[in-house]
Amino acid sequence: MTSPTDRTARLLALFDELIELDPPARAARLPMVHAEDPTLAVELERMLAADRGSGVLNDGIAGLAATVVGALGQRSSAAADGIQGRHVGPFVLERLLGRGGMGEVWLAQRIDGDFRQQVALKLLKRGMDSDDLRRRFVQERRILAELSHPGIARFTDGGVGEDGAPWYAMEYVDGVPITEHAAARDLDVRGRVALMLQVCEAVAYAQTRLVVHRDLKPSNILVDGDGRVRLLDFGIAKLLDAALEGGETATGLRAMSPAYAAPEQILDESISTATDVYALGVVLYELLTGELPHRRAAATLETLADRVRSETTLRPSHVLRRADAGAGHPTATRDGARFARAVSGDLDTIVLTAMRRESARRYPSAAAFADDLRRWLDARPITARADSASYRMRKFVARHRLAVGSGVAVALALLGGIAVALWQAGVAREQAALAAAEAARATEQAQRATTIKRFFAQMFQDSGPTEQRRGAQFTAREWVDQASARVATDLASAPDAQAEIRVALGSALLAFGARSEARALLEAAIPQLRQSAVEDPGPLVTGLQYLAIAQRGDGDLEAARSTVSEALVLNDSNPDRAARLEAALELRTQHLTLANAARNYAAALEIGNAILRDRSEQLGADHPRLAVDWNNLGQTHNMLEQPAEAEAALHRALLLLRSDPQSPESRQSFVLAGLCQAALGQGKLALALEHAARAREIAARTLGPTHIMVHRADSCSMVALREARRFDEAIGVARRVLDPAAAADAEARGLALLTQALSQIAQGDVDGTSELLHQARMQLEMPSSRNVYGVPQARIGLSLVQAMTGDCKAALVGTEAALDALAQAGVASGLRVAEMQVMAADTFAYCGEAERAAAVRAQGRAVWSRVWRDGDTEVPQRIVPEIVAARGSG
Amino acid sequence: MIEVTLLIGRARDGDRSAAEQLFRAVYDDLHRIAARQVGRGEGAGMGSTSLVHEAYLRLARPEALGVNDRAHFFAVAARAMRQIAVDHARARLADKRGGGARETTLGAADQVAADSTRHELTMALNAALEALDAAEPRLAQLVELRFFAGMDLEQAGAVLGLSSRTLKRDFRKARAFLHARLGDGMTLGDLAD
Repeated sequence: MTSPTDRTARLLALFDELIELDPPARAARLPMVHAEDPTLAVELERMLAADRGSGVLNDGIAGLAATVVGALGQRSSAAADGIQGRHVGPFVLERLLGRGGMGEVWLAQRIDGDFRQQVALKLLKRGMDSDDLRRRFVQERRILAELSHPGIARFTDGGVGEDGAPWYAMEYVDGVPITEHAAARDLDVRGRVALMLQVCEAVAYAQTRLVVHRDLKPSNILVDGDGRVRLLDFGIAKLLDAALEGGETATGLRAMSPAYAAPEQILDESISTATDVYALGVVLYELLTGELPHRRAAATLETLADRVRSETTLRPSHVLRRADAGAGHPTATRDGARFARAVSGDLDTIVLTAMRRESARRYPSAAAFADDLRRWLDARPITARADSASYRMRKFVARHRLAVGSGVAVALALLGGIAVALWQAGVAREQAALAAAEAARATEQAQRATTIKRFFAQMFQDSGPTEQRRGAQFTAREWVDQASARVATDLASAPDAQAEIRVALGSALLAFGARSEARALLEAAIPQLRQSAVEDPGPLVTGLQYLAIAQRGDGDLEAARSTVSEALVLNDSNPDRAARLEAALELRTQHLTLANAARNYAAALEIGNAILRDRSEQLGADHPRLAVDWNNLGQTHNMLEQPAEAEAALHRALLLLRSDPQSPESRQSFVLAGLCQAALGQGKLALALEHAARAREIAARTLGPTHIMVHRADSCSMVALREARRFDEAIGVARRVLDPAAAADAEARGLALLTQALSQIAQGDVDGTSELLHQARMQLEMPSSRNVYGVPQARIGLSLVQAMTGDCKAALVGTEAALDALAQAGVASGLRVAEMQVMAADTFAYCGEAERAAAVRAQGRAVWSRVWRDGDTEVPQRIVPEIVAARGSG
Repeated sequence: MIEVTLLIGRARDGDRSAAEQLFRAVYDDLHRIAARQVGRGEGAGMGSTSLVHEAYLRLARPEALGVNDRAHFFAVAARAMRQIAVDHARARLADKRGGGARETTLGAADQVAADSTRHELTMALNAALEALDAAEPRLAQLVELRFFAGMDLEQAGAVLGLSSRTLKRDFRKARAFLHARLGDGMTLGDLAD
């Protein structure tokens, strides 16, 4: 994971780049950043918006800290006030604790009687005792006096002073704001939620008394040394019963703390118990992320109101994963990935439910909020989930309507999950016969399997002929989405089965490339799986495996690594030997994939060979299960530029896949794309194009037209077409990839831009190629781009363009630097490098460095000839045609 | 007074203890000047620019300083002003702890926004500046000079030894970054370009 500083630097660099572009170019560039890193793109957009905005701090520091200079000279303002030591009722004022616009709060000591009693004594500020304020003050006192709850600072006494000003005393709480308490104790997620539950219970109590606090925020929620929460300051609390309010409307005074205020407070709409729910949501958000959900600093109510209407809230776990946490961040001192994992899923949902803009869609009361927090703490299904899951399903179905064909494909996609359940039932029966002690567990497992079977049976029935006659033709994806939604409600009473089905559905969604949906399901399942892991770690290990795949897909390599590590440790404790061995192989496969993602191909190759050896021993060399292993090995050979070895391994994979009717056809597209690359590496351009076409067709049909495999196939055919000097076709494929509708990833887009540029250059047309190469380089430098050769190729291409347009000085420096970088990266041999060498030779030739040109050209062509020994095309002499070269040098 | 001149020289040579002493001296002197102003009843009217300049005249003996020393002094003073603003905000926020005391429970919303949030905003700005400082220290220093010490681009350019053209671009970027971090509608404004 990149460091916060790296990300900031990247953000600033992107701002530099985009601010130079005209609006259309900027609008075209932003989606690319977004495809790469959505969070970074959001931050970038905020920066661009901020750049256009006007400010309220034109006066420099004075706008922010008007009183700084005045305050610098002050010693003790409390003593200067002159009322220290004054008697108020039976109390004597000792120390000013704080003051606001209208009131002051003093630490005071009771002086009558024998016992010492410390209280917090609140009185109206002198000069502020208008009738209206007096009435409010007395109302606050009355409200507080009527509340008696351990979570609310207790009212002790009240009266009118000698000067006629009202006062009241309440319990003095020697504590710190809730957020500081959580930070100081370094509480984990459960600790923070438990604390919040106390707060919600106190607010819920007040709400039963028809009191809405309206100003809940950390500084009003203190936690004492025993970890006990106390609510303070009902200063702007409202009685919902209008009769008790003395006829005064709520709109007379709109005091609040903007950062925590519910939209209806800012927009001056009606206040309800849900108003406090919003503020509680903000406090929980801050407790979990260390940040406020929105920055609402503004000079006027109007700007605040505008902002509230348009603001969106990031999921807390998203904020945590952004990894640019400050010092106050809850993950600053712990394993951030684990913390984020605990928050994501149900807690995200709870917080966002509490913070919905429309009060009617929030938890109706603090009691309902408290209830879901309690459910989370007990690892029971939360009430907010059902609503949001179906909401999400609708949203995603609308987003990618992907017809895969109904019935059969669905059955295939889910067969794995059901098979596991049935197999576990079989195991369970055997065990029951063997040992009576195991009987209970076995029965439970068998029951779980039955529940799972029933659930799927019901799902099939519901999507069967009856439904279809009504015009509902389900796609596989819709079926899975429906199942995902229904599993939340239908199986709420069978949490174990629910969690296992969520894992099965999550794996199906992964296969559809719906990573974030998959991740949400898996993260919802894992807390439950963790609970039952003591008896049977198998399902948790499986869940973690899929989660790691999703995390890796999100580029979250650190998180994936730690998930795999957790799974490996757990797996060792699995008493079921067969399951343990199977899972161990799976987890090693994950390690291999992670090594690949980290570009550690040598390590990946070693792990891959070991896995193949062990799995052949276990299952036999011809078992279809080995297809995946051969594929992984082949892809790694490809990355190491060992095309012949890659081809052999991938052929095995393809044969095994085709021999296995249960294997999803989509898998073949992965293998075929790899075969294309292997053919390309050997100069078998016609074969490469055949593989690419087949890979593309299968991927588009089974995985959808925007799936990454479609782009991988296109990437390979682009290069093959260019090397076959079919430039127009190459550019055609590149355009298809760059079409926004294709939603291609950064690597594919980078390669497409590179293809366009190189195809143009090879035809002697350098017009606009610098810009294309520059853009290509930007895309290929994105962290998710795994193509090692793209960046140096773009650099060398750029130098060639410079040479062709007469800037030899820059061209020569750039070329030498790129060649050096290649040599240092340890990829000095292989086809891509050979091509670059020939390109560099063209540059040298242009710039009159004939000897250097000849030497580098010979080097490049030698490699090229060797790897293309069996190729169906000639090794090119030059990249740029002679005729253009002659013109350029003349 | 000659001491400060020496401290600047040693601090510029990389002497950390001298740098700390210098910072402390400037920080304390800013407090002293402000206290005197408050005593005369004109405290609140005094801007940070004049504060920094008075500290400069009192402490640094301008005639004894070279151009680079002068620049270094202002950089330190700007940092000290930032620290003062942050200390102030932190203290006011801490006032709210304990016994149910806090600011402005009965105020109108505008007052709350202007008052209570301001301190939180100062802390947030400080945190955002730290993030900026880690990635591009020059940008953070520029903001300190302009925002906390109240310098214009030309003065800041003299301190940083850069053209105001370069700085204009830099400031635009820094402002957008900080503004984005702090939330929409809140910018550092156009400080008299």
